[in-house]
Formats: sequence, structure tokens, C-alpha cells
Amino acid sequence: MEIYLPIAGMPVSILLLLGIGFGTGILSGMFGLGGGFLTTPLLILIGIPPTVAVGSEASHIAASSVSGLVAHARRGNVDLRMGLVLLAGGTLGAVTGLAIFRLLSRLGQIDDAISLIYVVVLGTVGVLMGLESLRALRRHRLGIRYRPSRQTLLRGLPLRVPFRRSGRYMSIVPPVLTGFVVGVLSTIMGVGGGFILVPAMIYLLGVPTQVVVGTSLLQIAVVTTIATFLHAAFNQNVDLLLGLLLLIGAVVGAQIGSRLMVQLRGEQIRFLMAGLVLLVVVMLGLNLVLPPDDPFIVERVL
Amino acid sequence: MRGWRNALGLAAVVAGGAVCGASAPAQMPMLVDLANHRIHIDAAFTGADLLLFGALDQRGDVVVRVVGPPTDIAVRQKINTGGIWLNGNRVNVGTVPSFYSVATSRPLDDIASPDLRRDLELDVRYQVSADIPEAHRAGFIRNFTRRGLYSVEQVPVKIIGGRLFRVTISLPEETPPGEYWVETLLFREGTLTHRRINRLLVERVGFESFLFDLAQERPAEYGLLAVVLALAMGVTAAEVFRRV
Repeated sequence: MEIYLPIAGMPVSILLLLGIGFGTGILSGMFGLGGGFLTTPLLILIGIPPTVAVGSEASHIAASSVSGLVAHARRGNVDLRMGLVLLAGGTLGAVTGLAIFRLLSRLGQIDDAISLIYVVVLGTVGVLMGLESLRALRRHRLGIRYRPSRQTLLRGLPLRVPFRRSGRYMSIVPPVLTGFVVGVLSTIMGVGGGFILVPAMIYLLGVPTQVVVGTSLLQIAVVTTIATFLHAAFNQNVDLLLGLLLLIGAVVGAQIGSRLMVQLRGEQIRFLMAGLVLLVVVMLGLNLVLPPDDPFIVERVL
Repeated sequence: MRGWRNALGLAAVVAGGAVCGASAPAQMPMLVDLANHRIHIDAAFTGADLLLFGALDQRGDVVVRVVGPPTDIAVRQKINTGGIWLNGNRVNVGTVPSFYSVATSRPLDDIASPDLRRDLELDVRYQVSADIPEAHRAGFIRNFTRRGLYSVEQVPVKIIGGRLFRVTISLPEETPPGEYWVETLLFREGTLTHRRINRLLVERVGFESFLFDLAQERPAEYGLLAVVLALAMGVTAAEVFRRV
């Protein structure tokens, strides 16, 4: 059964969209991430225009991260001050990301740029995660205990404030910069950015694990909400029907995913996820490298 | 569209002459109608069939041309840049019909002389400016043909008993909304003797239309709606699964 997507301007199978939402929902429930980095490339691969995929996915991530945020806030797992500092950078990042998005659109390079940024960012994250999880797996086999260093190299920076919930006293410069970078990528790529934000908060900012997910969800929820509005208002590339169908699949998938595979250790999950990320990179990369079926592409002049 | 207008003007002159010279003005040489004058794009739209039918007073050849609303188009050629295929410079094609289809009862070469065919500009190539590089022009036509937006002579007009005719023209899933001109030409012995124009309206309806219009005309409100919906859905999902 197909449904005509008003903004994408094409009919797509409802089951396919629910399935993509469900599949990425399961994975995001398992890995504790939003899953936008999988959904957006999949939408592009099934033929949704890349700009519409990015804009609509922003609305999907906004909804699913708000739902996660509510759950975490109830358990008190959100460092509000840390979240607001991240957001100061994140909001600026979202606006900057939109400006870059519009510049690339004007130059006619946005579609390729989205794929290229995906390949570079996901490729880097996938390789790093894969190597790290392999090291961790080897350590586990050898029976070595490993503790990530809580000591960060950012001691001398100004504007130090206490982050009570995280138990840290540090400069606001690193979290603002982290929020900014994630905000830019989030808006251009149509992702929440958890796959960068979570490791950055753990390893760079030294935020304790129990508040990382809740606090990162605050940043993700607000940034993708802003991104949704900016995309809709300036690019007209948010397809609400597309976002809605993905979300329905995703909320069900996430609930199932969060109950699955709890017996797997963190490094095993990270290893699987690295494989998945690299698979997406290869698929998108092939589209960029292989000669196109027809070198001429047509665009509408507005 | 320039070519289309010329063709209309010429056809009007030819047809006018034919009608003035006809010995039996009471009898119409050709009657034409569309099964539907409106086609709706709704949530279930996956393309549509446009059925046109008509009657002739005596034997002849029928050509049907469907022209969609005009649109402005640009073409880019993908160029291998350091191993990656990136978009090259933009070439403005100008205004072209967003849909163009020609159906004929016999091969066009047998119906009309080369001169007449050129004057009528039936071939889709006449609809696209020749001022751009030929590779880009051909690339554009190839692209629209692949998407089902352009076709020439692939659709047969079926004539039944020499008097009745019908043709089904398929509109693809990405059929652009707007006003379509459906032109039916009657040829006898290689000359154009009669011409009829029917209007077809392709329009978005229902929820699709509401969302599309809102997104295009009031993007800020649409953005707010998107945000409110997303937040509401998120909170609802959290509540629903709180107890699960």
C-alpha cells in the first residue's frame, strides 16, 4: 500500500517507511542513539530527495528524542546546566548549519554534499568506534580492567562553573564548542548527533555515564526542534507525513530494541554498531564514486 | 512553450480554413471528450490514466498531444572530480512543458509531411530551446522521458471502425499539478483539417493539498505546526510506553 508524500512529491510504500522507522528504532533502542544517521541515508537510498530526507528526519528525531528526554527527566538523569551550556553552542550551530545548507543548495551541490559529509563523518566515527571496541574486546579476553580517564586536557580554560549533577567544575568553552559542532552537523545531516555527542561528553567533558544520555537528549531534542523549524521555514523540505510514518515505526521499534540484547556487553554492541555504520558509509560512498547511469541531472528553477 | 504557442496559432489558421471551406457545416468532422476533466492527487495517488475518446464523420488520422503546465528547468552534468562525481555548472534550459505526450493513430511520418510535422512542432525536441549545449538538451529530454513526463509516439490512438477513436495516456506518479491542454488533431491525406482543445486540471486535494500549500505559502506556520506535532508525538509516545 502506497502513500503519496506531499513534500517529497512521490508515492512510497507505507510498510517500507514503517519498516525503516521500526528497524532503526530497534537499533536506537539497543544502542541508545537516535538512529538518524541510519534513517536519513536509507531514505536517500530509496529515492527520497536528500534535502527532504534531511528536513523530515529532523522532525522525526525531534519527536523521538523528546519522548526519550521525558523518560530520563523523570528519573532525574538530566544535568540541566550542562544541557543549557551545550545548547548555547547547539542553537548557534543549528543556525550556522542551516546557512551552510542553503549556500550549498544555491550552488547546486547540496545532494552530493550531504552524501559526502555522511561518508566522511560516519566513516571516521565508524573506524574509531570499531578500533576502540576491538581493543576493548581484546582487553576483555586478556582480563584487563579498563577505566576511562576522567582527567581532561582542558584545565586551563576560562569561565569555569560548577556542573553539580555531573560532579564537574570546568570551563564552559568545551561544552559550548561541542554543542556547536554537533548542532552544525545535526542540521546539515538530518541527525540528532548522539553518535558524536555521547562519546564527546564521556571522553572530552568527563560527564558521568548515568547523566550522559539524558543530557545529550536535551541538546538533541532542542537542536532538532530548531532545525525542523528552520528547514520548514527556509527550505520547505519537511515532509510531515514522512516524519510521522517513521516515528510510528520508531517508537514501537525502540521499545522492543531497549529490551533486546541486554546480555551483550558495551564493547560488543559498539563493535556491531561500527559495522553497521561502515556498511552505510560503503553504500553512500559507492553512489559517489561509481559513474552515474546518466550524467545529466535536472533541477527545477524556482 | 514558445513552440507550443506557434503551433497553436498555425493550427488555428489551418483549422479555420478547413472549417470555412467545409461543405456541410452542420456536421462536425470530429467530436472529442475526456473521460475526466479533473485528476486529483490525493494520498493514494500513484499515477493516473487519462482517457480521451471521440468520433469522426469520415476516415482520417488522429494525433493527440497533451501539454502540462510550463515550468523552469536547469540541467547539470555530473563530472568526475578527483574520483567523486560532483555536479558541474548549471545550464538553464528555460521554460518547458512539465509534461508532454503525443499519441498517434499511425506513425507520424505516414500521417503528415515533414514540413507540416516541423510546423506543428509535435516532436518533443521542439519544446526545448536549442540555445543550450546539445548534450544537456538531450540529457534533459532523456531524464523527463525516463520519469514518464515526456513521450512521443509511444502511445497509439486506437481507431474503431474508422469512426470512433480512443487513447489512454498515462500520467506518472510525479505528475505535476496544474492546467493541461489536450489537443486533438485530425489529418486527412497528409493535411491538418480539424483541431479540438480540451482542458484538463490536475490538482492536489485533501490533506496532501493542505500540507503542500501550507508548506509553500506559509512556511513559518508550517514549521511551527511541524514542531508542535513533533513535540506532542514525543510526549505522547513517552506517556504511552511509560506503563509498558
